[in-house]
Amino acid sequence: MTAGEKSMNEIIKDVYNGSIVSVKKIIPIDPEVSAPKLIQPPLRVDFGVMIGYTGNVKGELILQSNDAFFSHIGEKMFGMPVEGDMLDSFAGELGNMIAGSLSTYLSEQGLTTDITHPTILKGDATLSGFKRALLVEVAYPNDQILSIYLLLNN
Amino acid sequence: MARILVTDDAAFMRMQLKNIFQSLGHEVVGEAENGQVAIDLYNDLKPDLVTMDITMPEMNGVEAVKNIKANDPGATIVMCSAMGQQQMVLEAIQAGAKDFIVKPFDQDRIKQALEKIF
Repeated sequence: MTAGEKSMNEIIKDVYNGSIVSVKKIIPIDPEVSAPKLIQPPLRVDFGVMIGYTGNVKGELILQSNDAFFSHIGEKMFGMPVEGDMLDSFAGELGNMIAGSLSTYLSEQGLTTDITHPTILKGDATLSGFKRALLVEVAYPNDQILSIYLLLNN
Repeated sequence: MARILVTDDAAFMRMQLKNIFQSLGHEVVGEAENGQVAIDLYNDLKPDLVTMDITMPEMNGVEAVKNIKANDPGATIVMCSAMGQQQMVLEAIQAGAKDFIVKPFDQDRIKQALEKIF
């Protein structure tokens, strides 16, 4: 099926499934994935990373968690804790890897996309202006949560 | 021992690649944070190998590969990107890249790429 033949619901389903596949593939910790929730603007993010999508899917992917958990993910992936200036850089790269993996998954579903380089969100960032947004919460051991927001402008 | 130029907008990934190359006995002679800086450093340093990310600010990696290969057809460049879709791989190889490493990678994958080239 080509991008033009897909309904918005099918595109959302592909993006949701692809996000789960990508998170499981990139982060080497067993997760528990919740059902998607629709959320309304504005979106507040304390610490996270935002990647833009262009092409058949237009919008942003945002990963939100706390800096200690991003550091823990870095340790699991690369064998050493990630701290200080390198933590922001790692968080951006983690977003880049998950978004790149999602883009690869979407291409296998007939959707052509490209991604922007990551933007780190810190402090109390407020995002609005998107048409629809999905939230998928991914739970990890020790009550750690990675929130994945999919802001769609299609 | 190869002299290597590492290109990635993320300082963390440059550090990871540098650690891997050094532990494999190679020398990282330069680090570039975007495609334009990679072109400038390539001309100054003439490294044996360039690793090139794709999604970067200022100039993306595929454009940088085309530019470097236009000036030095013998340049050896390996892509190192999170974007693993077939079209992207094809575009990079057509631009002149010798291999395409999809992130995240481990030391064995880097070693395999080096063994194929040198």
